[in-house]
Amino acid sequence: MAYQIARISKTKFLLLVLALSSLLLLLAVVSLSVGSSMIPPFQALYCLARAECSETTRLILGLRVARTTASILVGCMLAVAGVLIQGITRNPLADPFILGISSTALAILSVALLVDVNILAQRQLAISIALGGALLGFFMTTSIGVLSGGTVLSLVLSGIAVSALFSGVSHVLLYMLQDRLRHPYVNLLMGSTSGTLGRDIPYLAVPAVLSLLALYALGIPKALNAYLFGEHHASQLGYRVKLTTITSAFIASLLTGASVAVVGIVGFIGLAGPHISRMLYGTSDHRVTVVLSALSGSALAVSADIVARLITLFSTRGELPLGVVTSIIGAPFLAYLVIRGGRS
Amino acid sequence: MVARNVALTLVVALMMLAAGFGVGTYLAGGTATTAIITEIKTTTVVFTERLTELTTVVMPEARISVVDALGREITFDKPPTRVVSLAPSITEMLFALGLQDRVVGVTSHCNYPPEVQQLVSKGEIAIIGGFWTPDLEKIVSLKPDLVIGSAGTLPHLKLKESLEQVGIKVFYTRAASDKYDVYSDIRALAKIFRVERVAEELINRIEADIKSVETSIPKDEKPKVLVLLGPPAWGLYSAGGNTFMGWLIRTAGGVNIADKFTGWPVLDYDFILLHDPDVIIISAMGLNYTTLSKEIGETPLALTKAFKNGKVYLVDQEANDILVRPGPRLGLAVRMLASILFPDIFEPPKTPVVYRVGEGTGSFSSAGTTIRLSTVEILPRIVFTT
Repeated sequence: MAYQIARISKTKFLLLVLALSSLLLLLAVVSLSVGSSMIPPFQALYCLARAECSETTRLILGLRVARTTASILVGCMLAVAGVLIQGITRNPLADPFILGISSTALAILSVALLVDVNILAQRQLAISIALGGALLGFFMTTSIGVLSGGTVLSLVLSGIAVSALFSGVSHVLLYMLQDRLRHPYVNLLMGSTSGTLGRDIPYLAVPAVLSLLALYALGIPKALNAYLFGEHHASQLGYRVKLTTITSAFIASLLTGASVAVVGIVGFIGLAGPHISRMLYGTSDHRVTVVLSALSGSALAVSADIVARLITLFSTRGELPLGVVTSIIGAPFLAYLVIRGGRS
Repeated sequence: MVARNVALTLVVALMMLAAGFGVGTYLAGGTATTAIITEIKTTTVVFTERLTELTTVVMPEARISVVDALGREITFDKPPTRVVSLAPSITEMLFALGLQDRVVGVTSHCNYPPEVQQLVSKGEIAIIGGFWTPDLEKIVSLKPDLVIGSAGTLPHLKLKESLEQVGIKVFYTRAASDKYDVYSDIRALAKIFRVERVAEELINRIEADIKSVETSIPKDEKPKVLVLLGPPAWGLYSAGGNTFMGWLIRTAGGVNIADKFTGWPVLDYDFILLHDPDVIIISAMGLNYTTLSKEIGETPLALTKAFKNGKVYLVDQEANDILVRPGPRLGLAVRMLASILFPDIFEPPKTPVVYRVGEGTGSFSSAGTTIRLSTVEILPRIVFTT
């Protein structure tokens, strides 16, 4: 948050949005053509435009469209959630998982699996349960936060308490589950888009669209700008601090919860997406960073997904989890931006 | 104020007490350990000397040494009498070698031969936890003189130091990737317990079983096989070429589409559709078969040749155990897989719980899946004799 709120230069903003969108588009096309069978980008586009192509190609492309859409949405959702959380906590180290969302999602899912192991084979149901768990985590964190004064600090501390408790609980439950399924449980923790199908997309798209609409309709980006100078300053400017904090936390939880429920835990994007966007534009103005984070987060997630698939082609170990790849390719870029930012 | 002072004094007193206690125990413990160590040293020296004398004079084969999967040489003065097995495949080997009276502890997953479960319910064999979750204290409390674990399982490897510290020998079997690994494990165990003749008979029997399958497999037809460990929603975990499953598929006359991978790779639907398997074998992990086959019908697996031709097989319980355990039922595993791959040549699998999913229907979203129990006849159990 080292940046001043500079006067927004509309042209610079539009240029950046344009550049990032075209990068994203380019990455999406590459993502459609990369995989265990390489489809040249133009052929892929022709095929999607209902021109002639083989049945297999069309099927494979269908899968890749779903997968690419999923990674775009997940990247966008996590990065926006990251902006919100970093905004309300005024802490550049906060990430969307700080509210204890992922651990409660995992705990509730493992309770459900212990009750009826067949839920494992009903993906829709499992996604809904995990999303419910994530929202439960939000409500617990917020209630503890409100009970302890409703400040941002109390919200963060109760988030830490909830996530510590539930990550412990979920590991105990998964430990029990692993004995029953006769498989090690780490599988459930690793985020990956490899199994994402078209029917899973609504679970990402609906929360994403609703949250972004609500975000701007409620004027949260502007309110968060006032937060930059502290809670007191924001309330002196006439913002209802508690309400804004809780609403932003809820939107961030919904975004994170949906992405955890569908693809699993993907780290780094929520932390680094906001920083990348701030450094690209050189401002902490949330009206700008929300949009730029959404785009850069998506670009990061799609490129990570492409790299994950490329690695599969040349390794003998199968696919890597998405979260691992995001940090491997995202961190050097972040480091570059930090160095450049430090110099100027 | 007074109360606070009293409380403070109490706290300080307690802390001092604790500190004193700690130092005391440390000092006392320290001396005690040194004493024990010297004692052990002296006895060992005497013991070895005496033993070498004995071996040279009386029994030339009194000491047996075997090398385990970790490359450690383990020496036995006499065959162990109290053995704990940490894996179902090891339990199967021990029972197949006729060593059931030596086994004192098994995992909760050890269910074959059925005798194991009888002995457990009678209380003659204790459960020491699950395959992934062995309980160290439970193992030690059984006072075994040998614990046998699998070198491919991390929780087993973690037990090594602690068990050796309390003087319990640990032997590791290989993470088997073919029949030769299984044979050498069986031979090593047989050497420890001096039942080499039984082992050779057992291996010959398995070998004959595999040969009889191998001679009947068609040479020109090699169906492409996809193995999935668990339902698709669990993640598309398959078996690479260097695994026991990979070897089974090769031996039974199939081509594993994940052959180029090692270990347990995660595949994606892309890869699966590209290779379009002729047969899909899915480990059901105890899930409801209707739910599972419905899920399969709703994923892109329904677009494969295997699903369209009704050649998706769910294996569970005993059938699954046979396929995943590198043990004495190896020959049975090869035969079962061959009967799944070549139903025209081999009789249908005689082991219960092999199901067939999807017949002739293959639409993506609304796949009408049918399940058919291929056979419910129970295979006459192989009786292992010593």
